[in-house]
Amino acid sequence: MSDTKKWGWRGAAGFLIRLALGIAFISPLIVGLCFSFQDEQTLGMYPLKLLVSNPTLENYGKVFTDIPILLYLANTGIVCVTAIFFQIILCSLAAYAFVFFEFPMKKILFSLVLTTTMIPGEVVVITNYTTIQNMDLINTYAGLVLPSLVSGASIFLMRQYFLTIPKDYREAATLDGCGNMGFFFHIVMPLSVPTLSSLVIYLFVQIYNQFFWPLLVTNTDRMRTIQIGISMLVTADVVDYGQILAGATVAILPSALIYIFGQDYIIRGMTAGGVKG
Amino acid sequence: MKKKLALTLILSMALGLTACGSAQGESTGQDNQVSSAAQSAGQEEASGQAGETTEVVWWTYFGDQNIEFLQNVIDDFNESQDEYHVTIEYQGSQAEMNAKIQSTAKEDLPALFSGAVENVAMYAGADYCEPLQTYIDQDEEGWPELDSTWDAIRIAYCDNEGNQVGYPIGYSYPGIYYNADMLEEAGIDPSQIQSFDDLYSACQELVNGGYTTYGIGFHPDGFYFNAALGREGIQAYNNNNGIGGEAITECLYNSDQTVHDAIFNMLDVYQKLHAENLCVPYGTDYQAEIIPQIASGDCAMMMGVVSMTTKVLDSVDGAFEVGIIPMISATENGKRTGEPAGGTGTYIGNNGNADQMQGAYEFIKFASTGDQAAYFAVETGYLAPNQESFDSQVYQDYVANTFPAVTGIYESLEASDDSANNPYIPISNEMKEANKLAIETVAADPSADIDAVITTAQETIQEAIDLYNASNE
Amino acid sequence: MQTTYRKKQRRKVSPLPYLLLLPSMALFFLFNFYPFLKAVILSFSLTDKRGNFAKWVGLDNWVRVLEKESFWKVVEVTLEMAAINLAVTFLIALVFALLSVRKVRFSKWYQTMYALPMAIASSPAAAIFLFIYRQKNGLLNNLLGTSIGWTRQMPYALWAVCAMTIWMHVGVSFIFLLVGFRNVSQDLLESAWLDGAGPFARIRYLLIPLASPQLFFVFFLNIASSFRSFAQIRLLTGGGPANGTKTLIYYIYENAIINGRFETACVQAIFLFGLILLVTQIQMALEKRMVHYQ
Repeated sequence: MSDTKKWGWRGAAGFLIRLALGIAFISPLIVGLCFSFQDEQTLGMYPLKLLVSNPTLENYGKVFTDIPILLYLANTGIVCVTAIFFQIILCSLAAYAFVFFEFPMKKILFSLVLTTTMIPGEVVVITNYTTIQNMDLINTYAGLVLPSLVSGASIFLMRQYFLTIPKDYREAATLDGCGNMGFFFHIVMPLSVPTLSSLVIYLFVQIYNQFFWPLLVTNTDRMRTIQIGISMLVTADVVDYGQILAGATVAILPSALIYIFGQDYIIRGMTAGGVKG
Repeated sequence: MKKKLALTLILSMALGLTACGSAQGESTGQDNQVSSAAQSAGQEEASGQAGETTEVVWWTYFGDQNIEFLQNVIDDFNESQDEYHVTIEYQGSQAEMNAKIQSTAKEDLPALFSGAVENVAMYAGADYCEPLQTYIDQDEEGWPELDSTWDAIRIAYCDNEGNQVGYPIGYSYPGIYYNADMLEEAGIDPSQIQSFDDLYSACQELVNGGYTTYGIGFHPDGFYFNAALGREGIQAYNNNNGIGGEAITECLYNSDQTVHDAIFNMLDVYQKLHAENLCVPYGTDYQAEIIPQIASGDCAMMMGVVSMTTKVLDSVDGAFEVGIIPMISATENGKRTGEPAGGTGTYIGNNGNADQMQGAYEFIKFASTGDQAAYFAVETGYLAPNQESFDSQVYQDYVANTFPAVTGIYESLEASDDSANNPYIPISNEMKEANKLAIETVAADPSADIDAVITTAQETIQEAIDLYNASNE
Repeated sequence: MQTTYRKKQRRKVSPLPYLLLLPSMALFFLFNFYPFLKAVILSFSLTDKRGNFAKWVGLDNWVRVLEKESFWKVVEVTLEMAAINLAVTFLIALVFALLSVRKVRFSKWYQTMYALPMAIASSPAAAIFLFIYRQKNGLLNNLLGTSIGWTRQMPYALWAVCAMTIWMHVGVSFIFLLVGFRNVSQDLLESAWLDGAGPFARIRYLLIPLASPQLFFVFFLNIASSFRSFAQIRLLTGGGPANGTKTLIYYIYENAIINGRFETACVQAIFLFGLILLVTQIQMALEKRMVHYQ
């Protein structure tokens, strides 16, 4: 009796310590959130006032009126959904080929896929901008997403998962009269849902964070994405810290929420895919 | 999605019928095909039919607050006539926008773009920029505001043959803000702070006399390095700083003794100020940290540009009087008649569409008129670029009620000559970075060898010049 | 497993795998290989402001870049940051993962917190960190009672940048490690517990060896992601003070985007590519020898 009680007490302490660590770890986010309700005058004060007094929504009001932030969020959403949809299809197909088929040049092609993850983006971005211009895709969603439709990392991740699918599944499927594509769509893809979900979230965070590419290929407000809106608050002779923190909070929220609600999938996906090579 | 597409189609068709040319700006981007169709249609109509409204796009790196002020100027312009309609579009930071504009295809270029005055040489030599001069020469109405623009400002926006390349919207001026009450208390006459040596002794008096923690804080930008040399009246580059018509081929930091000594003296002061803790450490953000310290009395002065006025005045909030003196020279011998330019100008982008480019010119003219230029100057703190805007009621009220100290800047402007402007050099980014690195190095290390620091800067800049010249032969 | 499988497939070559790879390869070619090949070619030439070929200079660019002392300083900073990021991220992620390995009620709360920063974009995160790092009216100095210029005094600036990078990267490592640890069967742990193995012995002799694939993966993941971290440097320090936080990727950005010296950026980018390739090769070689697969 006393034993379990002791356990419970220790467990509770352990839990509290772990929780406190977690809160400390995300404290920058809490700081950003708290101070975003502070007016500019107070934020600029020296020394800094640590306790938030007179919270105000003024900063958020300014962010929403100065910048078409909802439009930017909508654009970001469209870009993310399109890019993720295509990446999942294209990268799964490629990974499927690498795992379930033997063909000449397989090794070379796979090495090529891996090299794409090592090319520093900063040197290819200008050439890609020229390419998109030549394709006449400036200010279009197509231009925004085209370079994000495949990635070496996604192909690699899917391949790692597909490698764990027992090969007899395929033989069984072939005996059942399932063709190669039938096997892919009816067996492989459904089996991969956890891995795919984790890929979706990983890609979402990545594409959501893009800044320089959307800046290059769009010229007009109507096509702009959220990260550009945030940079607009920073790039000014007169910087308003309250507004920047409010803008940061608005930008953080969607990806944080997606993470919080999708984390189970990430973990399950990573468990399933693992890192076995 | 289908619904949205159909809606967009209808919308853009309706816009196309009612607004013709302006449909380009209104409907771009709901869907690829629709937008590019609307775009090309818009462009055809814009260039094809006279009498319709021509859409003029303006790329800028101004942030949302300045864009708001500019939008008011734009609205006035759009209402004042119906030939042109200007739209302003944010394109990232200055460097990002330059990178973008350089690699944008001709037909996709905006007809109007913002650019730093230090980059005039780069724009003048670039095919994406059409010098204003082309339009000034064809202008039968004349442009009185250009003639009454302060010489030093106007010249800063000219190429090395005297052709006008751009015109300021957001001309800034380097100087030193000071806490007038504190300086008076310490018995320092701000008008006597004219060189880096004067600055050093003033800081010593202020800090050692116990009036404040720091004598001065610096806006960390390599631009002030050149500004000080300009005030010194010396040319740090060959071929008259590139102004004589011949391009710069050499950086004289080491080979010209006068230049070397001036730079040495300036860096020496930076080093001493830091070693003796007389200044806010170099690199501190001026908005987040230096201005609040000015406001709280922990710092007496700030080296900055005049466009920071609004922020400074807002923070100080009347607690004491704020003054400003023009940029100091590198040494005691400084002539202080050269005016190094700073800030932003507006240029015509050469996108091959004559109507749009004409519209861009008309807008630049409109924005330079008394009330418009004065409005932007008053809201932001930038200088009124010409006599008309300076004389306007709005600006005179500002001088009288908001920032009387600014008159000193105009006096200096009027007394200026063209002895030493910014170097006319197309590699201003590398130059500014190398200069900033020199200041950072001596600020961080009290024992840094200044001669070695100068040599590093000289070598970096020389390499950039050589590379530029070699690749643009 | 793969070899036996290969034998069965040897019969005839079907066009299907090529078709499956075609869209990906076409996009890779257009947006990765073509521009990268162009960069390789440009590294042997001078470029104009548009980043286009101006004239051949052979190996001049390579000699110019590699001869420069400042370049090697940048490489040094890059490696130093990678080492710090690797060590600290790894350590924190390890501690977090060990703390969360047991699933209890509400364990999801702290588990979420440990990983959350990985979902935060770098620019808003940088805005918050800048606010924390300010010298006079920044949060950190206020709390510590110090007056340190976190983003513009060495060595603090290096640590300030690393701290943000680490903060953003712990999440991914944590999840991989957590998954690795949770895969270790509970029965094994229970029996070790009954055999009287203390918590540290269990970590040392059970969890760590059995999760070695994950540990290994996380180790190299952090090196690669450190080489690529760019936004925090641009937004926090701009490579300063006195180039103290300038890494290769930032140097490349500076040359390609700010200075318009494209050929220089190309040389440096190929160098960085080589560096990442080298690390990957080492990883693969070591993985074969050291990692314990269940």
